[in-house]
Amino acid sequence: MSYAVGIDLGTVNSVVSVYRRGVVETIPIDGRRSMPSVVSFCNDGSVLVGAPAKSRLLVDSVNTITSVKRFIGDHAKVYHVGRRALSPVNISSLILRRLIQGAREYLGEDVWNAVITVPAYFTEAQREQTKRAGEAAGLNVLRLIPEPTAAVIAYSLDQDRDQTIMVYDLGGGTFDVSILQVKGNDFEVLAVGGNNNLGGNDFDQEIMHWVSEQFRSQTGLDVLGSNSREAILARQRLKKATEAAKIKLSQSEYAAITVPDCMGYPLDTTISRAQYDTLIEPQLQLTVASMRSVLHDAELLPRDIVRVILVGSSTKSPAVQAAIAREIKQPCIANRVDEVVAHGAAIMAANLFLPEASDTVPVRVSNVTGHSLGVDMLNEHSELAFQALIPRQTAYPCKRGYLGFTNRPGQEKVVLTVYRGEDCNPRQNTYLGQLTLPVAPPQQNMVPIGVVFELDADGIIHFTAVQLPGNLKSRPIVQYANEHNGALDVPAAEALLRSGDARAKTIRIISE
Amino acid sequence: MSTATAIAQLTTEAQYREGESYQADMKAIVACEAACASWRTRAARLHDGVKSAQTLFEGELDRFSEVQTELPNRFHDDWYNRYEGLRLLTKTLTQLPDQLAKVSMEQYQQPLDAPLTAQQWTDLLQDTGEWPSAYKRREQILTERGNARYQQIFQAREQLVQLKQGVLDCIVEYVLPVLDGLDEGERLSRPLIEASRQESTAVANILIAWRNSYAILRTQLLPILEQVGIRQITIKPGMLIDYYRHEPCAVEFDPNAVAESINAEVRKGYDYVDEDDRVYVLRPAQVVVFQH
Repeated sequence: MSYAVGIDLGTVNSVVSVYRRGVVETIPIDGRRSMPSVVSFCNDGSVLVGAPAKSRLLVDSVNTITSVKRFIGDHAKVYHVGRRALSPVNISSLILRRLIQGAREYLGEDVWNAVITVPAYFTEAQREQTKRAGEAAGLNVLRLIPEPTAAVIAYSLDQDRDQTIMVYDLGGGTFDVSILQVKGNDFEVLAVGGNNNLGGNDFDQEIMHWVSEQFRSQTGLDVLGSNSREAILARQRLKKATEAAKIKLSQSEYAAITVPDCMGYPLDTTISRAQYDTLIEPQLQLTVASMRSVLHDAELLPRDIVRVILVGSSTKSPAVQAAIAREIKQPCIANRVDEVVAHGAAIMAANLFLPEASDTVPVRVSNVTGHSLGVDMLNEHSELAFQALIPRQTAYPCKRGYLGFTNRPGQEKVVLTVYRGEDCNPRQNTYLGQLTLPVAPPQQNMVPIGVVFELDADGIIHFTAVQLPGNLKSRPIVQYANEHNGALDVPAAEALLRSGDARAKTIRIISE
Repeated sequence: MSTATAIAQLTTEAQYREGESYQADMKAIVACEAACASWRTRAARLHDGVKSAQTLFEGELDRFSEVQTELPNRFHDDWYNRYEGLRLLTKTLTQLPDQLAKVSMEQYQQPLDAPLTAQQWTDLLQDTGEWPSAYKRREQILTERGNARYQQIFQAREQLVQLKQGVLDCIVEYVLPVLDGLDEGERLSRPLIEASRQESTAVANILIAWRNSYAILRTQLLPILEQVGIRQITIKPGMLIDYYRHEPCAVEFDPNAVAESINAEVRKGYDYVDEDDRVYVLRPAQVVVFQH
């Protein structure tokens, strides 16, 4: 029996899960439930991935790569490792390969099929590259799904009613907040927001500062400021102690922080939950501001949110939950908040892999575009203007077309430039790619040219330019466009393509 | 083929398949129960061992406090810091039994449902009508019953994970820091002994006896860990670093040394043998590494 797995390919850590016999399970890698998303290239040619790679970072930071997810989709980013030049796709594929290898060992079966999660704000280029990384790892990527959607699937598959859900995802280093509309088993992301530089690590830092200040006033020693080996070791111990205290404060009113020998002195203090809450209040307020912002983007009020679900270990803090309760409502929390994204992906993977299996629940996922997608076209003043073909917040997978014409007799080709953005001046938007369509004779004036944007389920753009025949066969299409603000009758254009009356060229868009 | 013959054939196959699956599931749950029993035994050994070690720690702490009067004034600050350090170590170790008591030691007791008999299968399939629907129904029942059994296996495994993690967390939080503290205390007492030697042999001897307390306490704790299946990771200076078992905390640049070889151990590492006889790292050893 073969399985399909769900992968949460994270910036800091990655998790792989499987849904089998009605149960979703996290697959341990090197004995741990999550694997650091780190790759290290050793001098002897071997490659370390995960915990050992993270461990090697200090020894060889040049050939050890962290946070590759931040660069996925960036074509200019190259990692020079020895004589090799590696892309973020190459690095991500090594992480995925290790996860899959772990899954194969754990399941004792071959694993080729996977659903991979991506942030809801990922552009089509970032999605495209994530999919390529999966393919380079030898995987059949069944689907890419947004992380908040995966979390909702893991939390609420058994919920029958339609609802608007907020996903509050506070990881170690990043904070994401999303609003989703769930209709039956249809999931649609309405709005996303967050802060790339805010996470649970900041909470640890606050406690570290608080304790080190106390220690300095007692001993005159600066644990955080000194670079002596004593101080480095003391910092590591203090970091462990503060992390443990933070976890303890999720369940207790007080937590002891003890380091028997901190730079030669005993450190023994207690932090109360009230003190901790005061320390992290500024960070919590930043998350509150993000929640308000996404509500505004989705044109919703707090009372419109039916459920708030939590993702990420930092959400175990009662102060975090209280802040959400004050702002929206009491949130729901799963047992393993760090793994819910991978769990949702695993459920989705089982659905796509074995849709007929009696123990899977059908799930359909649709997403919305964060920005408008379109091309530049000459307007009535003969100026190039951005024509949005897929407006912002359009649910996909979807297909949209627009009809234009060549603008002079004898025009031999049409150059169409694809942009993402909201500005009517194309140059103010993000350039995504260009397609050149040679115009076949007769190149009379006003040759009808259709453009079709298809945004697939993974959020990847397939852009097609179609030269329609300059005869009566195109008349219904032109008429349709006149009656529908220039929209292309895509099925009719496709019919002409099938009959050989029209010709087309398609590209998959990858942004620069 | 008549309906009766078809039902009989479906029943035979169903019985065989469920029997096979049941045996495999039973094996999984028995293995899980055995592993839980092994970890409960380890927890009990840890509890008893630490309880007896506490008495020794308290005794050494008393001995430490008596030393103060024998030391010249200029050593009093150092004595205080070391004494406070040992007091904190004792306090940390004392918390372990309470923390261990919070770890769920419950045994998973729900037995797996026995496979259906031929008669039960026949009864379930007979009302479904023709072959295609009877076949579909059989597959559905097999899946549902198989999933229900797997749910139990999953719960038993979760219980094992929680038990094992609970015990290991207690060791990492309440025993390993004590061992680290003993190493650190011993290390910090060395320069004091050197300084005192030049002044008075008597004072140096007091400090040596005091330093030996750390070794005595460590000798008491390590066998307790061994009984629980926890072992110290052996490090030899000059050996190449193994990133699965060692964690670099500092790098020293030396063109004459072998790149990525270990210069010194800063904090001891520990591994443990799991119920499947595989060795896992509990905490990597922290080392200083040479680099070119």
